[in-house]
Amino acid sequence: MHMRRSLLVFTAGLPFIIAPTQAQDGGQLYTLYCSACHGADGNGATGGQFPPLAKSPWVQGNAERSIKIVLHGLHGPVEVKGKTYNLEMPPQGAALPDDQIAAILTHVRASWGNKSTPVSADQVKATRGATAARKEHWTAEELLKLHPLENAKPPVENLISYYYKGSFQSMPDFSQLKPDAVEEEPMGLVDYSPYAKTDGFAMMWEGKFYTPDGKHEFCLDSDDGARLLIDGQLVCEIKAIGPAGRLVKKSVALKKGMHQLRVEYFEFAGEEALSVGMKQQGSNGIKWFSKDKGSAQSKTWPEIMLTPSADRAVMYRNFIQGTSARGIGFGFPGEINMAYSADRLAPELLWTGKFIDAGHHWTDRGVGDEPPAGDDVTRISNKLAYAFTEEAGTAWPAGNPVAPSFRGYKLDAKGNPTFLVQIGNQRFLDSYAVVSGSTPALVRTITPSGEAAKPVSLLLLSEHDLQTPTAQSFQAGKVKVEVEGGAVRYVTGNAILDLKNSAITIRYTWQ
Amino acid sequence: MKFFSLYLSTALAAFAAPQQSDFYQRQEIPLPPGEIMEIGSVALLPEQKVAVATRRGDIWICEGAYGEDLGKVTWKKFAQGQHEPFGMFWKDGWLWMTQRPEVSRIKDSDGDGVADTFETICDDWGINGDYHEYAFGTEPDKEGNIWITLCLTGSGGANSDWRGWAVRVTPEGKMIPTCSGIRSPGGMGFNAKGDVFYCDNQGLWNGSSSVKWLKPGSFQGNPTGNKYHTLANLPAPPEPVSGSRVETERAKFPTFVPPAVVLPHGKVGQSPTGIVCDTTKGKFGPWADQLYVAEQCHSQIQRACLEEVNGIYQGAVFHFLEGFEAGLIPLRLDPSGIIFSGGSNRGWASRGSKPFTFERVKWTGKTPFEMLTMFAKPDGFELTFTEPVDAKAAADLANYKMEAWTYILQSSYGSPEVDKTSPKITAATVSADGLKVRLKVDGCVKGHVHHLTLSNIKAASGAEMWHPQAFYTLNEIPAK
Repeated sequence: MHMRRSLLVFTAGLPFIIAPTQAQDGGQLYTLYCSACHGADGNGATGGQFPPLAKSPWVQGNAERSIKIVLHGLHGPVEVKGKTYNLEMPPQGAALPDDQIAAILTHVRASWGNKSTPVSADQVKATRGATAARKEHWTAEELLKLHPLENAKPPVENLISYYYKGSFQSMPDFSQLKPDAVEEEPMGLVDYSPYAKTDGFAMMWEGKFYTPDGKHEFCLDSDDGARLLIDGQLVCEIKAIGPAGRLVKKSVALKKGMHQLRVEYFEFAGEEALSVGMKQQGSNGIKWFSKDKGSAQSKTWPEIMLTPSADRAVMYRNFIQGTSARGIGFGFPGEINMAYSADRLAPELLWTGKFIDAGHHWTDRGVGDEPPAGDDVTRISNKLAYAFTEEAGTAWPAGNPVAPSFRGYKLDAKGNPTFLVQIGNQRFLDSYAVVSGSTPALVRTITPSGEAAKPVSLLLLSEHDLQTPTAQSFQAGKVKVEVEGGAVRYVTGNAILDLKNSAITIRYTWQ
Repeated sequence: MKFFSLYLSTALAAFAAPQQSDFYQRQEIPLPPGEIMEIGSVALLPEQKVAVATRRGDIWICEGAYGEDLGKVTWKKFAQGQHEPFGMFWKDGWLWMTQRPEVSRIKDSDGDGVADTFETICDDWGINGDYHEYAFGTEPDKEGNIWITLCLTGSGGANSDWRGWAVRVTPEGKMIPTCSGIRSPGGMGFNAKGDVFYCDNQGLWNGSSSVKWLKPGSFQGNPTGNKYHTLANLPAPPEPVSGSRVETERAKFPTFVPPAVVLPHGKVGQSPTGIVCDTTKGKFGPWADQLYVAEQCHSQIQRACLEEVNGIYQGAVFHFLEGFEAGLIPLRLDPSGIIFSGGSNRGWASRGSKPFTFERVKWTGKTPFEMLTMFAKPDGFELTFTEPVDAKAAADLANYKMEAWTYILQSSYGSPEVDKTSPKITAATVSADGLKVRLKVDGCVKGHVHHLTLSNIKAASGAEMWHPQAFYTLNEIPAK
């Protein structure tokens, strides 16, 4: 009885203590709009495939940074708590009003260990107004310039750079030189760019970085030469003058704690590049110690190298760099590979060695094109491969009067393809197989059938580095092309084969 | 005392909250061990075989997916090296598919169990290497044509021929551009009449994801791909004004067909995908001729009940099935009453936390107490139920709540819910058999989503309603 009376009193008092408002429920809104990707627990959905918000410096500190991301989206690589993500956050500014964004961010900034101040609708409104002209997603780099992460440790701590003017054709002995400039580098990144384009200098950097226990793979690429030393030991070295693309990787086991980093670099002349990175065991992202992030080598996907079996070719139909969008790749046993363009109806890329890394397209959204994985990539053509003979007299025609159709392909028991091209009532079977032996060869057979309305010619090579042309053969880079059953003619650097009614064999070998 | 507790326990059992497993049994179908099976397409083959196509371009054929004991399921790899097929079916001995660059059909000609013949039926649309230039295709329509929706470049541009269009491809391979205004399709399907529908995702010019009707010659709302009309001498599609409303712009442009069923963002999924129509004549429940719509992000299947009013499709969407293990993409319904679905969450998150899945759903034979249909009337709506309703509760106006809103039609990404109103339910008349309730509503808004919530309305049997919400897209108000 007594309890009940006091309960009544208490509830009667409530409206004056917590006035019911129109306030948005940030937690509910987070669940509705954000949790699918960022996880109910803020750790990133689907086992952390998506970036976490829990204890993330990105959503804490200066709220501007996260307001901007919510309004306009984010794309491209972003590093969160040591892991790199490369997905896409769609913009929410057009779908969510200011008070809902404020409620969601307030909730995020006070959840799962985050301890940051609330965000008001006015603040969101002000940011929205200030960025009204913005039409594109942000990138991590842009945002970090505007709003660096608070308490973020630089990649290399206590980094000092030393600059030496001089003409160096190999790495100097820095102990014998006096620096022309010594700088503290608070950004913590190895960066030659203050001295860029001034030919003739060397640089050296020293600093410290932290690792947990484990194997760490370091990578180094440079133009001209560079050396990477960890705790005084030489780990990677690029000795000679030359371009970037000579990437060196080496794994080192490190104990938990701080380690010494020393990078040495010399630039003789021309282009400059220097990228130094570290990958942790089991991680896909690279932590960059340099401002340069390397080129195609900065993969953030696991390698899935496609390989043929001993007796069957493997196929890959996807965006292959160097050919058209309708690329069809074949990796034959014997380490001979090709990419056929179903747009231009020709084998455009030939290479040896490894076939292709499918990991790029089979990870996340698979954005971009993937180059052949192997060696000696030769691009033998990049134009529509069929033309009417009467129009292929003095030059290979630019347009598409022939209008050929790609009709698909058949595979034999070994996975060797025969493509089918149709021109009017005439059909061309275009078969490929690899012949092994002392000189492995890719053997191509073109078999016409049906009535030719007008004679048709085939482009064997378009304006490549053509060498030693004869009526039966020519060379393009390392690839030798030999023709049997037809005669090759040459017009403005193109190698052309006039097709008749009988089959023609073309052999590609590597010299 | 004893009598009282017995009564209480039976009463409690009768009034137990409805669970999905009471009505539908969802099962994972075992996949080949160690294989990455991100499923983009499912095809039903003769002899109860099922073919799946994966995002890595592999095609596998499964036996035993209809059987009681899923432990007996076996798999054989039929083909590899396809380019992301989304839309596959079996016809006359060939496996047809819509893949990124083309419509193909493939066959095992020499009977060794592996495909050897790959014919290109049509490759007349443009692709340029952008990962977002997806193509989703249907089975053959009543004329034998395949319908394909071509996603915009980067989901916002149109840098290759015919992006932003829906095209038909004849069996001979001729491409007929048919509808404009597409943004980012997730799946396609037919209704019982053979009309074609697709799901378009929230984004530029799409305030919320929707099921849209591909009426031949229509414009679906996103003008980015309009320019390609010149390639086929078609009339220029509408250029709607950004910041307007679908209702306003479609009044200006007769070819602008509004979304048939809006799926309010966040409330009914976020990324709708495959569509099937229940023509099983009662083998999957009482939802005759209704559409099931798969959902990638929330790992669900929704139910949509459509009608035609003044020549325009519209209707209600209800929540239906949930708890799938990954994001769902393709959806198939076998005439015997089994749903097959699968999917992936690679690149786009889903509530189902597995990276991929292949599942089937069967009806237990027990019908849930639900709103069966919701149709528009000149003065409100008429609901029917799957069993007689508790007449007193159903006549009580306090048990009904309605909110209405729409979305901005704008060039930026998505839209908040705007122009909100609360239409007032002024009468609820229950039919004599208890299966219908006629709602008189004051303040319905043409063109708006009407969100109806029922509370405290049980069946006459005492069963609780499984999903007491409906979201009706009121494109047209019927005259009678």
